[in-house]
Amino acid sequence: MSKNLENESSARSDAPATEEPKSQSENTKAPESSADVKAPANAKVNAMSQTDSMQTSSGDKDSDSDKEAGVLYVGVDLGTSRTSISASNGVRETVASVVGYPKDVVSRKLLKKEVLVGQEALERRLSLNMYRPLEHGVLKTAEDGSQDQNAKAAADLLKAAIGLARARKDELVYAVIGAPAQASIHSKNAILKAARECVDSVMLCSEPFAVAYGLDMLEDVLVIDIGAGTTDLCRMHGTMPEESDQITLTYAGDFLDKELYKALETSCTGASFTIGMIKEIKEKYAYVSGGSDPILVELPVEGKPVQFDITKEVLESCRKIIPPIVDSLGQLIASFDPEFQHRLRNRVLLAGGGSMIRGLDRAIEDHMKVKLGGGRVLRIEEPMYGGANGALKIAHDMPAEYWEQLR
Amino acid sequence: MGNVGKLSQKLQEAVRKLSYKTTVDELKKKGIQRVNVVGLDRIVALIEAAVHRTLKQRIAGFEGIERRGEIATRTREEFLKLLNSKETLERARDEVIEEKEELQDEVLRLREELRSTQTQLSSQEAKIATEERMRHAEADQELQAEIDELMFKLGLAGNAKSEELVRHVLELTQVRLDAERERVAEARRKEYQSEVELLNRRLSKLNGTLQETEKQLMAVMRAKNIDDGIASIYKDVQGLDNADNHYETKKELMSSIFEANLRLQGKR
Repeated sequence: MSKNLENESSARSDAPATEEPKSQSENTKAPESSADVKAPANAKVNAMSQTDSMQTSSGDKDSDSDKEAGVLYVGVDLGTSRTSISASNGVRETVASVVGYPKDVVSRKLLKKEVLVGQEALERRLSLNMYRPLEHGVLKTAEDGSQDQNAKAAADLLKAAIGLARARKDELVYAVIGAPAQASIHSKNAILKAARECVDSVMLCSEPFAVAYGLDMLEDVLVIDIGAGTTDLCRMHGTMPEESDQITLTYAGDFLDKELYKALETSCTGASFTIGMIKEIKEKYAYVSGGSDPILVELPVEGKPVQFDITKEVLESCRKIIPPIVDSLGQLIASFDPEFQHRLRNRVLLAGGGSMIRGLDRAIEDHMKVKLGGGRVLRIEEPMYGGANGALKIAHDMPAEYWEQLR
Repeated sequence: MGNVGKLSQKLQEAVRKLSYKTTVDELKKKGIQRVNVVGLDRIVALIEAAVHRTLKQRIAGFEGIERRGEIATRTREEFLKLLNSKETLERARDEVIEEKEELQDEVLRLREELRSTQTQLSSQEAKIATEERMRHAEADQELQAEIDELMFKLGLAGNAKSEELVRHVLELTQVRLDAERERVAEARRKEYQSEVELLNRRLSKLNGTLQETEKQLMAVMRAKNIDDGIASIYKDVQGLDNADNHYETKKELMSSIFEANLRLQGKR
């Protein structure tokens, strides 16, 4: 595990909506009787909320001795673009991995807050000094090697994310955090330090491992976790993956944003746009196979909105992610025990926000057929929460004495 | 309405309260395109069935159908009580939150009133003092002019003796005048003092109310935290299930993760 913690891969989300995530963790299964329905856009849907309880109060109990009312497990997927949490009270939340601090006294008075996180920070970014504490799946460092403000931002992000779990004050909170990819020991310590301030006990684990663990697929499985900063590939063979079992690529969500940006610069003459706008477009329309209705977007040209057809640009940009992924799959399969290579090739899991690119599973399979003689790719049901759900499951399965020793 | 009907209704209300609203667009943003929908009636029926089945199992050994029926009825009643107590708690919490908001408004209003009263008091004091100074200066000047005019009319102006006389008259008059002014000022001060005392009493009352309200607000804020958060479904630390298909593998994996974290967190 040390290798995993010290030199492993991760990343996180981005990308468009597609398939059908459903259940939460294994801990909160809903009754089985169900029917698939499609609701009209913007209609309010009453969804079953989290497990509630009939317990009454907890008061201001903070000391450990008072924390006898329960144990809340929290799985955290700390990503470059988004951070997701899954908790054993049924809460699942995602927050953009951005942190903002008021620029001056005026904005501080106006915002009435010292720290803003996620969407709230993005909406008020003009009054804030903004930080995206993670880059390519790891904590950003200053030129002199120190973590400076990014470390503080990461700590604030983590606190806010764990706060979303809405733990009761009288519960013990045990968290497992999917560690960012090739995070250094220093980065991991910064994450742990931040987490300890808001939980009773915390552990880090490899993100792709968490995804596989969450799905109970621990043997002969290849996990592709496409995030914003990195795409991590991890080979599982019943033991903790080692360095040689993992490959990290920078062909991920941010890469696609840049590619699409370049393509639109060429094709949408006169249009002005930002990388943020491109990201939104990508998240809404990205696809790589299976055809698409024309993708028409409005972009401003000299201040006037003009409609552009960007179907071809979206397809071509998004397809660029496939060859490097399949090449890396080939490397991991080729270096595996020959007896089990066939099995590994047919058990490829696609996770992370990037996996929601429409038709990506099929497109990777097609490419594998050409390059590797075939293979099967399975997109996990909840790409956005795959890592967090897995971390939650690890937290649940961790023996009590281990948690105690790390408190 | 019988207990069973009441139970269904209460269950429906409880389930409805536990649900939250979201939009299709919000679900899409989370990568969800289709949702599994379970009808409220179905959920309620499942819960009821589960309760019923558990009851049947648990009281299977009890003698007599009547006894079993009695236990089932009592259990339903207890369940209803629990649901009601939760509702009562929720209502109390809503009331507390409402009270907190009202108190916050009240504190703001009182602070404003206090500030305005203090300003009013100090500006009134300053105004009166200035007015008095001006009035006295004016009166002194008028008196000086009248005496000068009188001396001129009497033909006493211009020589040293008469100037000495004027100075004596002025001093004498000033002393009498000051005494008279002091008397008037004293009367006015008394009048003003009662006004000030009234304002001071009001100030101290406002201060007291403000402190009391702030205390209440703090208490309410603390009380509001009482049932913040959502309870976990677990009462105790769980750990691996012995019946898990991958028990041995997972046990080793958990151990590896733990060992690595032990090193990382410097506990070894």
